[in-house]
Formats: sequence, structure tokens, C-alpha cells
Amino acid sequence: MRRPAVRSATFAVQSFLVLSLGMAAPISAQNGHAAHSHDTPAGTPRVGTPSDLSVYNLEGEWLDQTGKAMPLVHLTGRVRIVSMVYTNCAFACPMLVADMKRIEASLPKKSRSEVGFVLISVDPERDTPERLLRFADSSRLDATAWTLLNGADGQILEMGALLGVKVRKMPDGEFAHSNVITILDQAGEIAHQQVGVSQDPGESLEVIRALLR
Amino acid sequence: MIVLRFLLIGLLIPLPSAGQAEGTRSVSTPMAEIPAGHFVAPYGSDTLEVAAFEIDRRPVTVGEYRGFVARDPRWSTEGVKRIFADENYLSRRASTGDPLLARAQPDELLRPVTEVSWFAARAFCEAHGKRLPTVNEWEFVAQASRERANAHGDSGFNREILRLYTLPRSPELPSVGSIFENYYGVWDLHGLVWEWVEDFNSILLSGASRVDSGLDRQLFCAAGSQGATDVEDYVAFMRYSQRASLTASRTGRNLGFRCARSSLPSGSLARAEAK
Repeated sequence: MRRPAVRSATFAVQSFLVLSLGMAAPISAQNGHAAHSHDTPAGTPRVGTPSDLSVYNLEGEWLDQTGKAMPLVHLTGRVRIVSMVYTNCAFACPMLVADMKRIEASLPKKSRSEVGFVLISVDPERDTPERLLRFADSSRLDATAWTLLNGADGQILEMGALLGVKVRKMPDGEFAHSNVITILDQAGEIAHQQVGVSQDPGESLEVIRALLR
Repeated sequence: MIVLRFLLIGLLIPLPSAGQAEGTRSVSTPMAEIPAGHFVAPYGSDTLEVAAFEIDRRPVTVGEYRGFVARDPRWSTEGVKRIFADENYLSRRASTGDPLLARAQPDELLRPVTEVSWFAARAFCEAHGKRLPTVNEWEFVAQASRERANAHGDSGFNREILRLYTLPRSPELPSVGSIFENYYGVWDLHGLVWEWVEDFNSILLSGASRVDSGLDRQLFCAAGSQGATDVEDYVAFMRYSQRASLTASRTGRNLGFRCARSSLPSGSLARAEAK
């Protein structure tokens, strides 16, 4: 009997999945003042209706790492490099973030202000804005370029669906998710996806350069 | 204790009969109440808990979907954002000059709506105060035969389901409520259309990194699924594989949906007792 014709698709998915086995780092004491000492994260609010293929059509209330409401449409205007991670994750997520920082470091200085980096937490319960801010600090993320987002489960489900990122909460509280870095153009449309961790960012950089032209 | 709690609720709230409750709560499709339970999913060995919930007794029909689109033009063929539904969204009827929204024939209204994306299906359910069922909820109800809530391992039932899945397709889909009614009074889970589930995107096909990823290996290696809990349950593998292959904006001629909602603890207690 023939199997359904999904085999190639499933192998493709299989090839870039890494189960993220996180060991929760001890959480240091709450720092209630941290939020006030930081600049507003990158974002050039533009009003308008997103284009038909824009990811920013997703509605819902997101909070950034300063606790400020961040409608996705406010991400319009810059090229955005996006991935879905969680901060308790010990393995794949730091690698994804490192891959994104590698892209950041490869950008010409003059382009820096035209590109933003977005981490969307798949673990909204633990990844509160406060925790996201601590993560941004400890990972030395430039607050003018990096936006870390906290949203409800349903929003994360929708975002994962749009970006083709599969997310699944495991019984032990960790999250398995596909490792994908997505490049969104200035309108929020998917321009390119880098699949897997520790990939050569060459192609992504090409795409970004083309978008900034 | 449970009885006492029921009595207290009964004193506080005038208790409608089951039929009345359905009439006031449901704006469209009648729903079946599914008591909490547990089951072993066809793709693994873990026992999964399923909380009490309600599920539409039949897939959403063309007629119901038409009403939804009329109220919310964001989901019309013209209004829909391409990122939320691909170019075949509701296309079959549009292409035959009989747009779903305009001139569906009476008999067509009772057919399951198909060519709807996950986003569209979710929006429909949300507009009706419901949500899509989870894959575990769906599978939990789908393991019921006519006579038994859990027909897992019943080879006769498995053969019947397999037969339904392999029936030749006529060009037009049959009406909802015409294929098979199970123990819970839920129709057409098998044999009519594929159905969207809320968490289709969390079906991971890893095949690496973890011992229990055998769970995923079985999904695409159905033929060699030595680790499967029930090797007879071939069609379940088909379903999981099919779900894992979907993308959220995708629409398909044989892909429809039904809605569900979580039971309110007090309400379900009262209703269960009323039966």
C-alpha cells in the first residue's frame, strides 16, 4: 500500500529539528528597575495596513522586553531577522541567537540601523518581559536593534504556523521546536529562511543586502 | 461530594434540560459532550489525559460557512489576506461560477465546507465562541466505534475505518451526517473529509535526539512501524502524517473542519447529572 505523499516533506522537517533540552539556569533576583534603565527597543512605528503577505497581519497583544505593547505592525520599516526561541533553552536557542548575532556582526555599520532582530518566545509563561530583558542583557543584545516578544499561546501558535516553525511543549516543560531564522523584508513578508543551526549565513546576508539596496 | 456539589449548583441555577441547554448555548452546529478520559495515542506509548470537552457533532457545512463569511468579509475570497489562505481558498465553487457565498444550491449547503485554511477555520470557530479541537481531543473521539467509546484494538472497527478511507471519491462530497455516527453521537470523523486541528503545527517529526522520538519515526515510516502501539491502526498514521505535512494557509478539496470547546467544570457536572 502506498504511503501518503508526505515523506519528502517530513524528511525535510526532520532534517532541521533539534530537540532543545534546556537546563533552567537559576533565575537571579527580580530587578524591578531594570526596565527603566533601558532604551526603547528597535522599532519604527508606522501606521498602515500590512501588505497581503505580511506576517504583520497577525493581530494580538505582544509585549517587548521593556513591557511595552508592541503590535507587530510596528516592526514595519526595517528588515527583521526573526527566530522563535525560549530563554530556558540550553542548547539550540543559544545557537540560534549566536547565528543571528553572526549576521548582525557581518552587516556593514551603515546598514545597522536598517535591520532589526526579533526573538519570539515560545514559552510565554516563564519568559516574561522582565526575564526577556535579563536574557537580552546577559546575551549582550543591542537594545536598539533587538526586540524580544512575549505573547499568548494562541499568538505563538499562529506565528509558528506562518513561519513554518513547529513548536511543541514536552512533558518535562521543555519545548521542541524547529530551528529557523526568518528574514522579513521591510513590509514583513518572508524573504528568506535559514534552516538549522550553525549554518553559513552567506545566503541570508545576500538577501539582506538586496533588501537594503 | 460530586453529588452534593451538583445539588448546590442545582439550587442556585435553574437547570435547563440538555436539549434546552444546547439551544441556548449553540448558535450553529449541535455539539456532543465528551467526558474526560485518557487514551494511548496511535503514535506513542504514553497515556494522554484529555479533559472534558464538547465537539461539533458534524463538520462545518457550506451553509454555515457562507453565513460566517457574510458577517465577516475579511474571510471572503476577495477580502482574505493571502498569507492566511492560499489561492485555492473557496476556489472550487468560485471557479465553477457558483461562488460559495452567492449561489450555493440547497443540497450543497449541507456539504462539508472545504478549501479553508487553518486560519480561516480558527476564525470561524472563534466567531462562534469555540475553537478547533486539539489533535488529542480529535483522536480521542475518533477512536469510538458505534458501540464503544474506545474501539482501540478492535480489528473489525479498524477494517471498517480503513474501508471508509479508501472508498472511491465522487466529484461532489456527500452531505455531513451521512457517513458514520459514533458512540458519542459524533458524525463523520472518518470517511468524509480531513479535518483541521488546533495544534497541527506541533506535530514534530524529529527522528533524532531523543529516545521517545520513535514516536515521530512511526509517523512517516508507517510500513515499518515496529514500535507502534497498534500496527493495525494504519489510518491513524495517515492522519498524523497528513497533518504534519500541512501549512497553515493551505487549503484542500478534502480538508474541512469542525469546532470544539472546553467544558465548563460546573456546567458539565450539572449536565452529566441531568442525563
